[in-house]
Amino acid sequence: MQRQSSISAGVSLENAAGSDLLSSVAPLRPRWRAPSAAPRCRYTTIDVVKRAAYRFSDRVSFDIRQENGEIICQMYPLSPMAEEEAQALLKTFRNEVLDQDLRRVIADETAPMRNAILAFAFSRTGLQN
Amino acid sequence: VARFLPIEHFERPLAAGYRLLPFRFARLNDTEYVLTNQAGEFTLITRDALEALAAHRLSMGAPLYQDLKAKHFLLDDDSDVAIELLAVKVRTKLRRLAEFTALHIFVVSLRCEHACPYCQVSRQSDDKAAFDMSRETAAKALDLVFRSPSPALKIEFQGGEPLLNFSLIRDIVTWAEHRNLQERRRLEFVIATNLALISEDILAFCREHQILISTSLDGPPDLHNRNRPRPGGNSHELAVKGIERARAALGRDRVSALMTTTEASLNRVREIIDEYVRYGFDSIFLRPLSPYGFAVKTRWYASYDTDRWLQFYREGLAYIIELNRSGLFFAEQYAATILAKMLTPFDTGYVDLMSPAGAGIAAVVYNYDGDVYASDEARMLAEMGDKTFRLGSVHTNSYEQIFLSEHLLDTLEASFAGSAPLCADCAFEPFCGADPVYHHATQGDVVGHKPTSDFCARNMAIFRHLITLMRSDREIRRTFTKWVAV
Repeated sequence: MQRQSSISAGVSLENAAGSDLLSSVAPLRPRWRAPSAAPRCRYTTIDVVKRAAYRFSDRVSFDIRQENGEIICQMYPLSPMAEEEAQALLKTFRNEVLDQDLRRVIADETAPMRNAILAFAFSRTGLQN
Repeated sequence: VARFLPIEHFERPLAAGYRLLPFRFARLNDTEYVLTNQAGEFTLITRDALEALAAHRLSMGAPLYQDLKAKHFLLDDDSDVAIELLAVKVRTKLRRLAEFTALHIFVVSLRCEHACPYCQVSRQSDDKAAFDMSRETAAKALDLVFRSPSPALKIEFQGGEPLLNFSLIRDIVTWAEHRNLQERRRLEFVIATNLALISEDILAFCREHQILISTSLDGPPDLHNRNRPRPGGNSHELAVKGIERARAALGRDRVSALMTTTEASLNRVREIIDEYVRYGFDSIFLRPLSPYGFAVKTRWYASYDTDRWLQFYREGLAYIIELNRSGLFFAEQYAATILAKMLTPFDTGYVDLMSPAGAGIAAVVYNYDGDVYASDEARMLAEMGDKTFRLGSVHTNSYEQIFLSEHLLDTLEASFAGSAPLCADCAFEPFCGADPVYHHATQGDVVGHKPTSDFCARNMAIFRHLITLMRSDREIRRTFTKWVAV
């Protein structure tokens, strides 16, 4: 049985000067950090969160880790981001995690079928040799 | 004998339920998702319906259930041939893989009498000896052409301006046809030319050997001549006269044209399309600049971004749809290529939208000096000093050394969209491709970082736009279907 996990992706904007991730880029950048009361997302995996994060890697860098059954996801904007924009991005990210989770479910369930179809498809091409 | 199963059959709860077939999905808008199966068939569905499908909660009697079943997204006890049928569609989509390299590009000269600032091949203006292909090189390249197992072989002559070395084109065509008496392939020739040097002798030869002509037409005279300067400033005049002469000699359908979008084109898409209509073309290929050659050096490539080009493209497509509504048949070729992937089980073989990438295995380039490159873009990159995709030389390497080189195979494997980050989960992957040369040129990595890739942004936007247009208007869907049928 999978472990219950949570995604922490609430927003708090603060001066990131001194942050090891952002100080080399510029001071006074917004930083996203996990709030103490995190929304819970059952049964997801760290792989799902990483896949979702990759899609946003043009705008945000990520620190993703698993602690005490929770997945902690901190997001660091690559360039200055207004709070409104940050909130919108967070919302989209949460939806993307749900999508990735569903993709995983479908991919797991259909893996044998996918292989069977490809085996059929290539069975008379000569390419399998 | 009952001709139909009783209604109770369709209302019964399925004892075994249904099984999901492999599919991918992506959000199209706030309410709808695009689902694609392994063969690239697609359907639109709400989030609730998607969750119901994945959770096996769909009712057998629902219209959506039948639609999903018909399009191979689910399988039940009534559809025992579905897997084989889907496999046949997948095999049909991928059949070109087994045929291997069909397009063979001969760069017979890198010289050109035009001086286009956006030239992506880095043309040369002099030194015939250094930049023209020799007969010895051409003969060795032709040996490699006929080593390809493809039943169809297309030999395309490019430059520079290939007509500057027409005597070699004449030799290659003659040699190839002679050889094909034994080989019996479907042999086809294309000359990509600006038509400035076309002559009656050349046209007579083209007619005799059924050679196709592909030329450049960037739009109205002032725009075309600005994009494509040459001594006399008459590139447009020579191009349109050449088009008429070539059509008269070879037939209307034997002459095609390509346009390239520059910054000066951006506000003039209707005029550009009107120019194609005026000269009797029934389609246009709205192409952005590529990041190679002088286009980079002169900064023309950087003069507009993907968003601005997409605005140009959408405006052009809307105008083309208007023309079709008014009764004129006129297609946009890039859209037609993608629509063929979306609406039929066939793949058009367009090299930029293939996965595995078409580099080497769908198209290959024999450069003027005998070097062999994985694609047209690869040799463009080489002229900029980056020979990453040089596969070998016709003078020193065998067919096996060139086409089985680890360098080529590693590139194809690494960039394969079915296993690339983001692409592997992408619902639009069946319509898209891997473009390792582009991603190497722009990001220094053959796989590419897709969240920041202009290739990805441009194509995703076009896929979404085409599906949204078909969704919004049945007449547009009919128009698109006609483009594919042609």
